[in-house]
Amino acid sequence: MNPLFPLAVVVPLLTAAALLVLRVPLQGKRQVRGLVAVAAAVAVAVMLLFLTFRTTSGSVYWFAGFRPSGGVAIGIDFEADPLNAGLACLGAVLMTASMIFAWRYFTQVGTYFHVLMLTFLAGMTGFCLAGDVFDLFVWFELMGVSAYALTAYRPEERGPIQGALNFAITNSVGAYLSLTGIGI
Amino acid sequence: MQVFPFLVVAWIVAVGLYGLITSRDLIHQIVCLIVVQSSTYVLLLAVGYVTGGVAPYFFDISPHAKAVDPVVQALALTDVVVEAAVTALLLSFAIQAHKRFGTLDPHALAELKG
Repeated sequence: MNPLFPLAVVVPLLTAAALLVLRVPLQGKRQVRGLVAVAAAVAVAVMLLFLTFRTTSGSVYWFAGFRPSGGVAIGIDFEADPLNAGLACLGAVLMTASMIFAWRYFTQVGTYFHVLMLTFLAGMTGFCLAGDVFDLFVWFELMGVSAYALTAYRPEERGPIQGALNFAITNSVGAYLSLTGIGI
Repeated sequence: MQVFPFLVVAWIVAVGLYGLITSRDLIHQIVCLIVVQSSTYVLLLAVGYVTGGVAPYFFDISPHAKAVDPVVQALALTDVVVEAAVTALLLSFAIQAHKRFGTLDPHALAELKG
């Protein structure tokens, strides 16, 4: 059992939770928040890079030890081969790059920005590593919810709100139709 | 397998999409999105239904008793949770739109014109 599988999702989620809990002491310390968030994204990228090169094709991680027995699989799994781990790694690298870009781009940035970026990263990683279509849908929605919130990051302007509503409704309809496909 | 539940699913999707497209109010539009999603509950339960099956709680019945498929029920439950999150987020967007621009009409809100 390779502990890197759950860590690649747990690290950004825990960092996001910690940033949210510590938002009052970190009120004016924007550099610290940015540094912590970028460090978490880099850590995920390194873990996924390691998974990409060191896993043999088709290595599987079963959560909570629910291993399949007798051809019946009840449980949630992550699978990694060079393609999907590499794709997740690309996502983590792009997320790091966009956080570094946002460091100067936004003149002022709230705690919520970093939290949303990290949950988005966790969603992307889980989406790439998910081992069955059911979990694929769940991770897709997790990723989607963070993405809708990030789209409407500047709610005082007209464009972001309208864009977020359009994006959320269109994307949700698409997700429900793909869920219909999974069901059938 | 019966055809009727699938016809109901198709009808709910059609009604929800029609409302979504023709709506002139954001709250109404979000409710229509929930209607589209509720079609997936009907579909999932219809897919997993076994004629004469009981609820899949193997506590006081025999483990070999005929029961409906619990996996799709878990999927439907996950679907409900996802819907709650998405709906809460969309309603907060609608509140922001009303607070900032004083309108809930998606056409009046439109700034980005293609």
